[in-house]
Amino acid sequence: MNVLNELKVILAVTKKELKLYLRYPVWVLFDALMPLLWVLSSIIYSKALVGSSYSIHLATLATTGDYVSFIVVGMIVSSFAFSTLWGMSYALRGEQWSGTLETTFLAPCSRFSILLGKALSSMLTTSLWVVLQLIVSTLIFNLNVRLINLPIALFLLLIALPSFLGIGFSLAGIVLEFKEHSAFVNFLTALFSLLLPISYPLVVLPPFLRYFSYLLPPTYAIEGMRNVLILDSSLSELINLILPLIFFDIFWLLLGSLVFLAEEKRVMKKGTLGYY
Amino acid sequence: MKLSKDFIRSLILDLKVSTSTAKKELLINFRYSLWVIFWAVMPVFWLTPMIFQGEALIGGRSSSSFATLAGNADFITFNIIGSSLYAYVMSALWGMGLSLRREQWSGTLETVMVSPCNKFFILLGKAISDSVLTTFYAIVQFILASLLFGARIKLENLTYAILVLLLMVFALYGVGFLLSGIILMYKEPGALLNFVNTFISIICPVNYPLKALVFVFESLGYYLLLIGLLFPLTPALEAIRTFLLPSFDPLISTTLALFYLIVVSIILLIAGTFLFNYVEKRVRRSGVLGTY
Repeated sequence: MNVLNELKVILAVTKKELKLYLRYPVWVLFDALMPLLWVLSSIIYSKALVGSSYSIHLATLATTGDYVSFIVVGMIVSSFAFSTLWGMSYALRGEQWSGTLETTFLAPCSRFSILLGKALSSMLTTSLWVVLQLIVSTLIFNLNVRLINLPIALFLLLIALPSFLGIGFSLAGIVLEFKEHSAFVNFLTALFSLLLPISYPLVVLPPFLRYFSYLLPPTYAIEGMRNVLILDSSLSELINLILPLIFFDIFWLLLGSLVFLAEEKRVMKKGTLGYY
Repeated sequence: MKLSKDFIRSLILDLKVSTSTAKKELLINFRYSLWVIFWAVMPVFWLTPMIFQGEALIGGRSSSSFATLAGNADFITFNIIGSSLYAYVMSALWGMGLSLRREQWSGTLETVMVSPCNKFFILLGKAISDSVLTTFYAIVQFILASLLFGARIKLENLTYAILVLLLMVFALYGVGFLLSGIILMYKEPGALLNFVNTFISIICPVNYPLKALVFVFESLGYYLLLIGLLFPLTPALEAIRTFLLPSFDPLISTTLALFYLIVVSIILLIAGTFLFNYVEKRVRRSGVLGTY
């Protein structure tokens, strides 16, 4: 395997995906607006409950009562996790819909490069919408995050990404076998929304649910990002979050690759790759 | 006399079209039992984070700010009612709105459109099956959410609430007919429906009281509130919460809400039927009925 050639494949797939994406401007507009509407809805709800922009109860649970920043940071990190879930599961299903999956699989390159190219394109668009989300939240709701810590936050996100990709690989494999992805990913998205500390700290979850939350890498990424952007923590203070993230990176990348390879082999042997 | 007999005979035949369409749709839906379970259970998954979020912010189920805005401090019951009724909006958008598009996906739209009957009654059949399914989903959702979080409602007023719900369903039929027409003309509606779906959940009092819009956005909030009031879900939620929630303080009186729902149901049903008939003729004439 030539690394340089594989990198070229990743870039070519990313370019192709971005080109396709921009051909549907209504969907682009929708993708830009929707995260803003979700943030908006969550903040109106919070303000209606609390009556001010500071929650005393949240401060006792999460060391910050500034729920706007708390929620916006949670939503930003989860956007990347959800975009990987949807992007990677749709990656091969979309090729199936277009009738190009078999041709893609015949290409003389690693399937992982194709998947990575698709993931990269969805990460790039998500990053753009996240920036927009940050700007609008700052303008409308006076978002109070420490922008000076942004490089540390990005570093943390980079540590978390391999684990998100690993989950995505396993999903792509499952979609190869079971075809229809939307119900499954919808369910996973809802489950993640419940288990991840996006708009509430984990302590409000019943204890048995909390154990499942700790098995999900985005949990550590969200907590870490909040510590950096809201509580001004340094990188050394985040070591208890970074170590589990590195563990999950290795775990999910290995598991995801194994699941994908096993499913790929299975559908190839059964001859069901082209089945719709 | 003869005319009226013919009219009745034709009406009976048309209604048979509706009932067989409804039966067919229900049969298809229940063939995908996993999807039925999914739609019955998933709304509880969407509701649960809202409730946990509320508990994290205020440390219980009573919010004094909510009480100032809605009269009732119990945000959990407020949310359970809101999200159960929101199922009907989802159904009008994704069920009825997409019903003809689904025929297109299955490759059966042209066959359906050449059948010797009034196409409106086919659409009505689809609306009936959607209403039956949605009522099933809403009941499951309400029961599950009540078991998990405890809904505190005035059970003695349940009959009145159901009557308001019926009125809202008629109004949403109109919305569904309108959407069916628009989707028949413009085909791919995913982005539009997703946007409308979220926008409605923001401007209608599904998770928070209507006054919260003014509380957060001040003068802009009044405009949003007025737009929210126009959509049938808002007056229906206001009236149903007045009947079910103790000490709920509605923004509009129940009489006004009911009157508006009746008027808007009639307007939307007439407008929806006209638009659907117009689009049907137009796509037939332009030959794009079968284009994908």
